[in-house]
Amino acid sequence: MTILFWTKNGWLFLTRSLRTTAALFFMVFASVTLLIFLSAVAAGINDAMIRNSVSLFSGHISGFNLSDQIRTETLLVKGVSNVLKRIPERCLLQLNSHYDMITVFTVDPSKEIQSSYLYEKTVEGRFPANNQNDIFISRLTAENLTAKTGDPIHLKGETNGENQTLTVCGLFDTGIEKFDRSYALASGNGKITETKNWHAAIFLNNGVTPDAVMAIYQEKGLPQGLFKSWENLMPDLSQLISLNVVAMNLVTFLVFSVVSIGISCAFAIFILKNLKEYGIMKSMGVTSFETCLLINMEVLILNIFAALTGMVAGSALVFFSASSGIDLSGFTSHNPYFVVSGVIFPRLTGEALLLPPFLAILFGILASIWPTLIVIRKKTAEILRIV
Amino acid sequence: MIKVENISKHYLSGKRHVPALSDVSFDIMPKNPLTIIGKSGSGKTTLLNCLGGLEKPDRGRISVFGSDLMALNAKAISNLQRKNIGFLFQSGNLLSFLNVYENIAFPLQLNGVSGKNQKRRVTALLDYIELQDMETAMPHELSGGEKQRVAFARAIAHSPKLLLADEPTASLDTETGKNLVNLMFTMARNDNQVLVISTHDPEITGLSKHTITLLDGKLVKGDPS
Repeated sequence: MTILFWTKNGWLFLTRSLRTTAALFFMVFASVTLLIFLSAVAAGINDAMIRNSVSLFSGHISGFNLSDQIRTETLLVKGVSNVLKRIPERCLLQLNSHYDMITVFTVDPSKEIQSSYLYEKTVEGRFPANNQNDIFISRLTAENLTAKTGDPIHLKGETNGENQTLTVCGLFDTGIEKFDRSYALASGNGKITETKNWHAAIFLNNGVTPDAVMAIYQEKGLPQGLFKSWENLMPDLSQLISLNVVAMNLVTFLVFSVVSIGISCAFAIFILKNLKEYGIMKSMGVTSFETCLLINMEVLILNIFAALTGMVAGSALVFFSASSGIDLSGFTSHNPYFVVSGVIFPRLTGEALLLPPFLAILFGILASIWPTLIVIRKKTAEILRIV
Repeated sequence: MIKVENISKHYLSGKRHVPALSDVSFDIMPKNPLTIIGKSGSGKTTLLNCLGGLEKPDRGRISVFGSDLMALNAKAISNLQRKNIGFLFQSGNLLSFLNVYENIAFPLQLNGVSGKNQKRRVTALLDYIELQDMETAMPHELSGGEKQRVAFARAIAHSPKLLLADEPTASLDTETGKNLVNLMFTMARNDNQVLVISTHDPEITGLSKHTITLLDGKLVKGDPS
């Protein structure tokens, strides 16, 4: 007796018990679809936290105290979308009788706008412009200095003893107090530093890992100690993402455990409901192995179809929601990891796509064990007598 | 030939042992259909089940065409049922997910009969039971009499040497029942088949030369051997 024969009978069993099959199909289909979507949303949230954190200012990789022998072009390797050059100077800022000590980065404003999103956190005035003596300070620094947009501020750098005067072109507020209290940007025109060493904010293309790029830098002989990935610079975010992954896996497992109990019960009812059919077949000489084969074929066919359809529907749901994004700004406005945007873009990962259907099929098969054992162990005469 | 020697069978009802068959013995020869009569609960179904290998007696011996049923393992019994035994139940017991054609073809497929021979056999049986136009009908679309005729066709499709019919006319009207029983007797005679029918129906008893009567699991009248 071929597997084909029992597959055909399993198929007929399912298609000719349409209402029960449809109910079971929907149960598996819905759980696979929703879990794929949920997992993709979780991946999207992680992506959004990384994107928000690195795109505000630091980039995926930060280079520190790079000598002027290293050019930005040297760092523009495969997988890198942009390298921003920033020259830091610890400065004493003065306006009238008010002072504040912060780090001022001399930057190329037009390039900054291409990759970093600090300009989006402007709350007053404008972002610095090239060829201007502009300084872009935080609202907190402005409050300390009692400065407002348009005020001239005197700076004295640690390496450059000369006093410089820059005009406050605008104020920013990132909501990250440490950042706001520590940093300001100045356009390259102001000669506020004598130092030739510079910091780099390196932005990567989607899907490229910092480790891959840092490996290329190592191959090029760049000193490794000078580069740090966002995971090293923001261990709190790194941990939060790991926690999120663990939490999502736990949710997937718990949700599926609950759903699987439902699926198991439904399958058990489905098989026991048809107990008589198996009894009749056994009376015709169908062996226990063949009965087991038939039941498992039914369970497999139903689960495979439902899981595959769920995969397609879940992927489509992710695709459509990712094309426009899901705006969670209402829940993220005070969160430092969503400082740029609260829009998340669900992303399908291999695990998100394959785990739910795999679990559905696994739980379906596990669910069929108990009723299969009942069918096999019960005497044919007993089955025929009780139904 | 079939030989039944001193078989006994009891069921457990709670903590109580209920005897279903007590020390029953008889022989059956081909071309001599046997009718088992007895009231409800007299042990008719249990006896048929034991003959067909669906359950094992507690004691005694049953030999079916030379095979000792008590000595066979589950696989060998399945093989015997598949090849040599046909069952006809009181309520037809058609497989609900298969249509008329597929139901009749099922035992043939189990026995590995090729597609062409399957078709020939099923078509002949459909003609024989006069349901030529119903081959694609599902069991729920059939009347009680039609169901029983299909069940009969399925029971004899693989030309079993032994046909066991458990009150096959119980759910049918007199005329339909009579026709079905006539079909069975004719087929058994023509095919040299051993036919065993259990019944309450005196009309059927009248058709058979050999009857045994069971009362509370005991053989109280008749011994075809």
